Amino acid sequence: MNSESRENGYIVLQGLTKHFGLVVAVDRVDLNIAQGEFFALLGPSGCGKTTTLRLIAGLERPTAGRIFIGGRDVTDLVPRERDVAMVFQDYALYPHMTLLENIGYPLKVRGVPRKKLVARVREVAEHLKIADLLDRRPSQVSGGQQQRAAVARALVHEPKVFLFDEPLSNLDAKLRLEARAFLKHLQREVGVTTVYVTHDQAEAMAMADRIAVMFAGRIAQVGSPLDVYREPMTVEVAAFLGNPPMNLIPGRLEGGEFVGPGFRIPLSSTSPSGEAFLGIRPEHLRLAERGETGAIPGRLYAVQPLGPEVLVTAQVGEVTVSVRLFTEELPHLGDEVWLLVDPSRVHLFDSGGKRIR
Amino acid sequence: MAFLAPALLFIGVFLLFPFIWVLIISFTDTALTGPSAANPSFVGLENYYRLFNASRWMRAGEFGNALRNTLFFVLGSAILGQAPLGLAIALAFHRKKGLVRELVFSVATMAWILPDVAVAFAWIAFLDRDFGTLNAVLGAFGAKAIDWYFEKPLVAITLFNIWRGTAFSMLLFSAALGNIPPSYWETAEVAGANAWQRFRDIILPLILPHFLTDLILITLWTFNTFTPYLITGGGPFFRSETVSMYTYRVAFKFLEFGRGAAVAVVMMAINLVLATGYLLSLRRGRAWR
Amino acid sequence: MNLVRFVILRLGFVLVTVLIGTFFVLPLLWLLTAPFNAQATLRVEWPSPFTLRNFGDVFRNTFAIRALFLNSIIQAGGTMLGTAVIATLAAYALSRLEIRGRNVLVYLLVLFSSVVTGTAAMVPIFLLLYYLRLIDTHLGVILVLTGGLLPTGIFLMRDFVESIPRSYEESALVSGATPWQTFRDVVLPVLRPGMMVVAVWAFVNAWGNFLIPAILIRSPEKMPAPVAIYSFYTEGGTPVLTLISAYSLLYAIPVVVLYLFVNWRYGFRFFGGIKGGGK
Repeated sequence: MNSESRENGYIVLQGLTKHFGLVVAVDRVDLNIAQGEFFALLGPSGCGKTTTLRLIAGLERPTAGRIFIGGRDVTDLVPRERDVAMVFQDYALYPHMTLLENIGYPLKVRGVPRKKLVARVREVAEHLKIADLLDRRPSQVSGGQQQRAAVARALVHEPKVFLFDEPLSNLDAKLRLEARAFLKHLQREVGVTTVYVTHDQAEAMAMADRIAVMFAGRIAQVGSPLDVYREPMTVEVAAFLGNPPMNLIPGRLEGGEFVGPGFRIPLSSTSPSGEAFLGIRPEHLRLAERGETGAIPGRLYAVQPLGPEVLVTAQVGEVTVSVRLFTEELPHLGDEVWLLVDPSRVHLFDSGGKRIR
Repeated sequence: MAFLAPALLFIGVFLLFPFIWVLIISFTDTALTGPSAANPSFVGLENYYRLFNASRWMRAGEFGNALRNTLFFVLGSAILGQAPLGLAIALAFHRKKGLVRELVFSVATMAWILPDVAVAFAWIAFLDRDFGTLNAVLGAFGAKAIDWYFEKPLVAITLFNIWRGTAFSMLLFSAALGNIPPSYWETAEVAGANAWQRFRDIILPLILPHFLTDLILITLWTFNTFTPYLITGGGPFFRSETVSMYTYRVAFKFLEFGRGAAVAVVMMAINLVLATGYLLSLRRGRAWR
Repeated sequence: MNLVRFVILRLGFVLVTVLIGTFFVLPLLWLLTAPFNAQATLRVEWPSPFTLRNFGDVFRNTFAIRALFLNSIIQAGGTMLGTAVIATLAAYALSRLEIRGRNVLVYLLVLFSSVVTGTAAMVPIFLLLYYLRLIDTHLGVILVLTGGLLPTGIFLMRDFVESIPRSYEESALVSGATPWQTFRDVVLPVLRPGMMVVAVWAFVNAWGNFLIPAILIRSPEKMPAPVAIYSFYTEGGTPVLTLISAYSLLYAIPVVVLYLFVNWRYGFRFFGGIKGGGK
């Protein structure tokens, strides 16, 4: 952890720690983010992802650890000196300024002459298709347009780093999908290193080159979206990704088999005996006939038709298990259901939540 | 931090320092005229002895007399006057909009915010024995003309203060009522409660902490108000003199600051008790939630 | 039966409303009629003969006009500026600095300003100004009024400051603004309505205050309107009602105008002042 690792990352966090009183918000975080990368910090609220972003922006001072941007140690610099741009959850567009003034504000405080400022704002605004709204105030444009204006303000002075703090959470569902594609496209186009904070796993997976999943101030796993999805390293990560999330059934490992409530599943590799969790993604389960070997018995809980698929939930022992059926037909189900799993698609976690295989 | 400095300086010089200094002055014979003017000397508790001298303190123009008048004034105008009247108006116009509400609220608020001197002259005219509007109205109902200044000076300033200060209680209760989510009594309405039950079971418990807040604040303000002096001057023969006017007379008419400071200390002590009561009521109101 | 009850309730409501409204209006009527009456008495009557001469007399009285249009405006205006500016700075600092128990601090200050008040506070304050040689100066009146109004001013302002999302300032900082630029470009403009409210409130308070200038101002050429009005007495000590009523009306008008302005612009209400026992 020194000059060597600093070279292969554009943004480097080393042992980054932030305490608020007795609360440890960020706990010894190490990260290397490559130049031009779209990097997502994903986690539930209160996990420290936003604090990490604010530390990179310089809005918070770390309790310990260092931050490098482009090889420069910025840990002790104020935000102004870091040359970053940030888009806030509420956009933070100033109500008393027009969009032109809002977007041009980073240029104004850098002393850019008015004429050049207007030209540059116009250029960016045209690119983001809000050029005809520049005379309006934020309250006079739609939520989607506000979001674009906030992005434009971040683009306008060509910063070295983009920081996004849940920028889509104030949009309704339809606009959010549009904005997702728009932001991803934009980031590819300008190629600016981006750190993107979100609690929405679908958003992170859809947009990011790599994801860091955070829990309780620590990074649980870093990797490409598919790697993290396919091979979650802990129960928490497994349960956080996917919609609905991975089913986790508590049970025991005994002689090469997983023993759950009312069923046994043979496992290909041998594992040490003991308490364990069996993890199965809802799309890797299917309905089976009564008494089929290896079938998991459960009591039907609810059937939700979603259009292209049907979501079936069943009570297995103490937990509910979700099954995604890729059919438009409503299955005819009795009170009892049997679920069959492909043994090669199961995940196993030990009692401490660590991945076994 | 530099932003705070001016405020702290002002508050320190014009609130904290006087608060402590007045205590010191009250143990001296500070005056602006006479032999002790140049060189005030320490007189111990003498100013306080004179204030509470049992043999004469209830006489006209003495402290006890002023204290008794103040008690009547505060009880009558704040506790029995402003608070219930303010609550009544707020309740009457609760969940109502329109011109009548605007008018009543505006006029009451005007009475509250117009300058002291302007309303004082208006009330001198209003209370006049021969030409005053009050006697004219009462006369229309067959009542005998009352010489308010000579016969009922204390009642007169009490009436004045109800008129002057009700707006605060009205606005406070109105805001408190507005803060109750409509779903609260809509739920009760659906559950079958009638208007009285809704008032008793939902509005009253939610308003109660505000009632205490209101009582203590208006008591504090009424206790310290000086405006009635502009109507009766404390007269006739000190019959409407409150503690606030007594302090003014001793300190600024006789220019005996030592003695005035002693009254001021007593007043501030009473204020402090009321303020502490207010704080405690706030804390209780919160814990209760 | 139900209809009868409804009508009775309705009538009762109207009656009580009219009574209450009348109680608040009646004492003010004299201020509206007497100024226009050439032979004003203490009676409320239709001005007869109707005249504007009383106002003309007031305007010819240079002492009274100087008090109203110069001294009162200097003293109330100075207090307004001082209170609004200092309260804004303090409220901003209080809300953005991480000070433990700052809410309690503001509460205590507001309460304390109610403890050190009125004639009781004037005893030490008079002596203080006496030793500072500020008796009989505009500055003295402005300082004392500002000191008394500040805690509540800060309290009022705090609600406005706290309604500004932190992200406004943070986004300005990340955009490259200095803390001072952030305050000037982002915070101040957003706070303008709040400053207006506090300014109006401070002005009305200072404008209507009688006690403080009455005690602190000695010389006639520095007296504000509420003190100067007591010069409208004859040699024999009887009040000149035509002048007093006309002058009172002129003196009260700014307050009415400001009330109407605030009511129209922001709606006259408690700006979160009820929060203490509220939520």
